[in-house]
Amino acid sequence: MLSVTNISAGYGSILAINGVSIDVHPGEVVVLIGANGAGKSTLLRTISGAIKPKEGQIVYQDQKIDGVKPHTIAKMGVVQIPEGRGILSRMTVKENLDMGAYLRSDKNGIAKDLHNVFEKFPRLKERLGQNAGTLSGGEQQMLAIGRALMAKPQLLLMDEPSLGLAPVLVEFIIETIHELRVKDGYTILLVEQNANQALTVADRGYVMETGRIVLEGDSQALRDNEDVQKAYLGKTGRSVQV
Amino acid sequence: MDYLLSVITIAGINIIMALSFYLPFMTGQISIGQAGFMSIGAYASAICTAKFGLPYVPAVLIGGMCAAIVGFILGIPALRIKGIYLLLLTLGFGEIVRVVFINVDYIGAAAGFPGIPYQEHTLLYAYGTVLIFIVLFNRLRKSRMGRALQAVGSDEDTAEVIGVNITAVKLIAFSSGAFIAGIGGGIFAHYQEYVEPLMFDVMHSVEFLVFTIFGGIQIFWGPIFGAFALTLIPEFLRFIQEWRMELYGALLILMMIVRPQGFISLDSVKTLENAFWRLFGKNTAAVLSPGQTEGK
Repeated sequence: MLSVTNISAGYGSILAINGVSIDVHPGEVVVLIGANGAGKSTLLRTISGAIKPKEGQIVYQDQKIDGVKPHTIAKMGVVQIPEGRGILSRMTVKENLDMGAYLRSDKNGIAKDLHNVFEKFPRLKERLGQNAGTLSGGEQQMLAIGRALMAKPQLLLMDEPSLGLAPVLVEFIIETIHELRVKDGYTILLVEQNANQALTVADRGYVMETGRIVLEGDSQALRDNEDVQKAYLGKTGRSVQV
Repeated sequence: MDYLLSVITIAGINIIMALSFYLPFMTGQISIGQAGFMSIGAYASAICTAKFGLPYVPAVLIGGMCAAIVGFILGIPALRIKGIYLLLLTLGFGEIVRVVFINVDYIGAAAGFPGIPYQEHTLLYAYGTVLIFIVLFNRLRKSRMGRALQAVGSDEDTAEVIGVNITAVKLIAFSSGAFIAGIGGGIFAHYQEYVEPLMFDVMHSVEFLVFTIFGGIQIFWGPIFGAFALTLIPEFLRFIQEWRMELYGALLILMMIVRPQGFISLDSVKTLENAFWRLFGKNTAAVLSPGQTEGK
């Protein structure tokens, strides 16, 4: 579905990722783990078109998408949930959800998806007329996911959805991702620092360090890997917040 | 009475100018070059009527179009920069336009452009234009394009990944703002019968910004109210006339402290709308106030 080959990208003259290759197949949840500054977000932003790659190729559903504008990539069904949630804080919850369906015109489909979002996140329905900026962190993350679902994505790019959330909410978000995959059949590329939790819902994972992929494999193999355990999972199996 | 009417007419033109500032502002673009666009509209329409004998309405529209075209061309480099740098670019633009007009003999250079046909119904034309813009802005507010403007103003990066073509949206907003300013300039020129480059210096652009910040930045009623109030108040406080800019400054500081969202906020408009529909017995469900949770 998505195939990234030998991508290098960065800001100015500094390369944040260097020769990275990853694949995502339909129906999979793939996780990118790594410390701060490893280049995970940069990779995600390069896929969504926010950053132009300096080298390499990105192919999505047999089309080359490196160098394509973000709004065009969004139109092709690749929807990113930006880091820090990317809530339109001065707009209401309803307006945020409407914006998610910005590129769609099928009224019935939109209404149906809105209904589904409310079913997943009843809290959002309660807060419909409220300014999105006044929501709690967890609610904002629900809104960010809800808004992405309103776009009818074929590939969801999630950038640290658990960032800054209380443990109980982290679990809820991870649970939601699991549900999105199992119940709704979404394909998800997930960036997480919360490696332990993320590996429980992912099929496969890539470990990034200083702009490169240093390890890849299925989730179980990564969890059993000693280096990964030491660096990202901690002794007790709890995640390490770097 | 004549005096009062002339003040109200100028207030109408100022409302148009405040709206011209507000439209690009909605997408986060702060322009203090609106007086430059105004002067382009003023001179272009004046040339049309005084030199070529064109009727008033098409001349004013041509003035608006000329400003829009310049706005479009300026908008392309302006898209790449934000905040203080955009401010400087538009400031520079306004001054360049002024200096160019000072040096073109065809339109009177520094001495100004006299003999522009007087439009005696300027009051009606100015407020007719304001009315048209109110209708358009109100429709925009509820439209897909309006949401896109708002989203770009709220968070560009997010708007982009949602699928908003932010380049197009910002360019449209910027050149439409220039168009509105050009219309304001055309109406102004045919009211004054005479224009000179000095009338369009940067302080006027700053005034349009002040109108907007004072009136409120959340909804287009803000700049409308701000322009109207701040044009009329100093006129009725003649003794304070010389201190007008100081009054602006003091008001702005006061507003920032007491009511940073401006005089008219989104909430106040929604409250008024609800009260209006309740009074006239229409179903209020269409106009949600914040806190209400029912869908449309």
